[in-house]
Amino acid sequence: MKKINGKKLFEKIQEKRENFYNPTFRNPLRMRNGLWIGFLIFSAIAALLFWSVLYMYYEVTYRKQITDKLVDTAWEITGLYGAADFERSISILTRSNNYFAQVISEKDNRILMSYTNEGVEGGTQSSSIAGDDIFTKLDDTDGYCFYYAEDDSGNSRWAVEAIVLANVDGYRHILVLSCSTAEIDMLKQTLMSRGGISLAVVLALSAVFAFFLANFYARPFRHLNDAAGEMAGGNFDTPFIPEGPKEAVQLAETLNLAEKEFRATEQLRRDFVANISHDMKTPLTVIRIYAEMIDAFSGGVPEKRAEHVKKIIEETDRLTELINELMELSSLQSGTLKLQYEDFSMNELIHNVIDRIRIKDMSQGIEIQLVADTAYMVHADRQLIHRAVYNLIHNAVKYSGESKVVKVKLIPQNNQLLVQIIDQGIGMSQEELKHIWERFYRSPDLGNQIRGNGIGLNIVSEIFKYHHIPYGAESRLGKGSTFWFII
Amino acid sequence: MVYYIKTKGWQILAVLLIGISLFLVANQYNSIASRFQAEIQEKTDEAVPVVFLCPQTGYYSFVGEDAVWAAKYAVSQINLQGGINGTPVRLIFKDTRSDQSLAASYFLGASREVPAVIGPIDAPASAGIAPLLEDTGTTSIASYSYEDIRTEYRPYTIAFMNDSEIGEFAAVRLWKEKNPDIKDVVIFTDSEDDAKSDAVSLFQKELPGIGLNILDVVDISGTRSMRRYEQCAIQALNKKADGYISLLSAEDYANVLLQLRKRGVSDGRFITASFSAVSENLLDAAENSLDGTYIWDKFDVNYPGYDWQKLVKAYQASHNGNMPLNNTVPEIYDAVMALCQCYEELGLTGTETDPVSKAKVCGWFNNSPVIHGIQGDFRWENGEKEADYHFFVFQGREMKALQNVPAE
Repeated sequence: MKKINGKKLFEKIQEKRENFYNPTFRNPLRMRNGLWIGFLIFSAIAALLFWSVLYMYYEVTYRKQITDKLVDTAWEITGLYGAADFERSISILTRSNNYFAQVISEKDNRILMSYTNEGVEGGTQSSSIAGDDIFTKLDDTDGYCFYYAEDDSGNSRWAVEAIVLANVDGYRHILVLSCSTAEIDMLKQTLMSRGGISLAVVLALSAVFAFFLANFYARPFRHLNDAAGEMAGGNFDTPFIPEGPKEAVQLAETLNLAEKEFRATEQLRRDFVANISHDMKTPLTVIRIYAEMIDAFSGGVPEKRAEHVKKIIEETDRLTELINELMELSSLQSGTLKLQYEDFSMNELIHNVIDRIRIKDMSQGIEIQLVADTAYMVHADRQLIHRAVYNLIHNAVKYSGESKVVKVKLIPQNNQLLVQIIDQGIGMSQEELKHIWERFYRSPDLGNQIRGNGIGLNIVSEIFKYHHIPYGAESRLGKGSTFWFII
Repeated sequence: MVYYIKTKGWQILAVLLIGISLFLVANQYNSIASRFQAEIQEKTDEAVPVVFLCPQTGYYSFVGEDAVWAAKYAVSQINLQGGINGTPVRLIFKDTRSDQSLAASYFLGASREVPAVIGPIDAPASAGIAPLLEDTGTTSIASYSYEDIRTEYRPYTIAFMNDSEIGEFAAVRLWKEKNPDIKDVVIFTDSEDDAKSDAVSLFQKELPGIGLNILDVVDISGTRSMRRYEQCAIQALNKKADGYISLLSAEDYANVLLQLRKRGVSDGRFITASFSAVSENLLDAAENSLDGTYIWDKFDVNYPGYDWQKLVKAYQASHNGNMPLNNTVPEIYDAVMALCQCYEELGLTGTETDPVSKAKVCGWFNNSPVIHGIQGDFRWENGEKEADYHFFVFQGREMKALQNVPAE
């Protein structure tokens, strides 16, 4: 017999257990097979449990009921001993309960009385019920005992209760009351013998049913899995078919939505890469051209050289600004930025922004007006708000078109301040308005007419989201736009 | 720190409350004692007080009622004869309600006014006041029919009746003498009663010496039912004994007896029972099944003596013609008579509480002279009452005296 190494077995079980709970562990079982096996095991356990409960009920309750009744009846007869209708009572009780009764004297084991299960006196009873050792058996008791006796046929047994009724002249008279357990033994035998067959039938039916059930649950996930594989391979046109149970349908719908978003994001990413490439390439190209020009001919011409160097510097600044914007956006989106709250004057901040824009000669002849009836103090991250206001005013200047005025209005509202940046430029359609805050988004109508990366407003929206302040934009095509936020 | 202070504060408060409660409880019992003391003082005006504590209500009322009647009767007889040295006797009775603590409080109060107290007559209450005896120096004539408790609190513990265990053994010995063919016996007992368990232990030790072999001890304790009685009888019959000894009380014995007689024990002489079974209940329940059976008691209900017959008539007059079957009747009568005799012989008024007088009373009772009781002579030796045991055989439901078994 192979010796089982307990320690190794335990380690194996531990390893399996750890793997089961390890999220990176790949379960080798397919879902369908797993479900099928699971259903099968569940059916087997349920069948076993049912059979066990039935068996326990039979053994504990049913058999006990029968034997308790026998004992109670025996004591009832014992209580009637000595009464005038003692024998009649035995006859009635044996008939009504299907019992056999004997009263036996210890003197020569003589049968004083005998009643069959039909209440009829006389008739022989199985010799095994009250054997020759019945009195010896009672010697070791308190005068009464219960036992089982084998039937003469050997196929069943007798439940027997023996009670001392009297002691007459030194000889005990005992009552032996018995009933056949053939019926309950047969039931037990049936349970035992049929138990295996029942279990096999249950398992077979369960296997078939479980197969179809497992398939019903597993198939939609298999299809979703295949489609997800396609999507992972770069095919974003793969449909996720909503079929099967509700969770699978919801999953398919979610995946479809995710695919749509992913497709849109991928498109935006492509556009951004294209834009960024262009935006980065352009200054780099200009820098190279002017560097070559300096190298080729303007190096010796001071005026030209100065002009070309200035261009290189300008382009370098533009490139630097682009990189800074990207880094800023990354920082905002990482969620690790910590706001440095302070009190400052919004009026002063806006004046700073206007001055900065003028210094960089970006105003291009456009008048930027601050409209405020008084100075307003706000509590926020000054640097970030400065950035947001800068981007908004810069945008307004860029998109003001033929109009010459950009207004910045400060309007008090219930202990807060509504800031509006209003231009009367080219405006946007309502469809464009939905996307202006998205990363890399640029108005398709403008193409490359107006320079930009599609990042500026995204940065503005991230800043406002960080501060949890409401913001928005209104616009009419050809009429201009109003960007606002409340701080 | 604050938490500690708060917790500590609650602890101190709890201790204080418990202390106050205990003080109040102690005070309550002290106040009961004081009130009883005052009551005795009022009643001892121109009378010799005889203080009697007895459970007239509660669990032990079944012995208390007859005991109170006997005490009152005894006092009336004394006063008819002029009292003690010309001073009438006054019975001062208190119902202890089968409550040990209450009995102790009353005893405490009484001990401040009298040199001796009769009762309580129930064993638990008697054991409860025993620890007070030495401090108070007061003699207690109560339920001390066990050697152990008498030895522990000697010389203040005086048994008002003779030893039950000795009686049980004496009765069985006489039964054996009358029925020498009985060799193997079964004993019926109730293990919930310590007295019966003690008797069983005594039997197991002594019966082999008189030629009796105990085959089984059948314990009837637990819930009583007809099936229980049947089972006990059957258990005994199964042993094929020659005889059956019952230590059971009246109702239990009656039911077991009926079962034995129904199931083959045709001759009553094979059965003997204890004095604890003697009662009107036994006679009513068992009726003619008693015929031929043996029983013993601490007194003889048919005693021919004049005083006893007079008592019987008086008892019947106030108890619808019933006979006084409770042994406390003659025992308490004798106890009251003995106390009065003691006061008379010592020249006491019954109100002496100085140590010398108390010691005299104690000494008188501990080793008393022979006293002429209502059913013959008796005396006390070291607190143990030495009186005859009475043995009977039933003829029908009548108890016929066989002979008296002298006390040993």
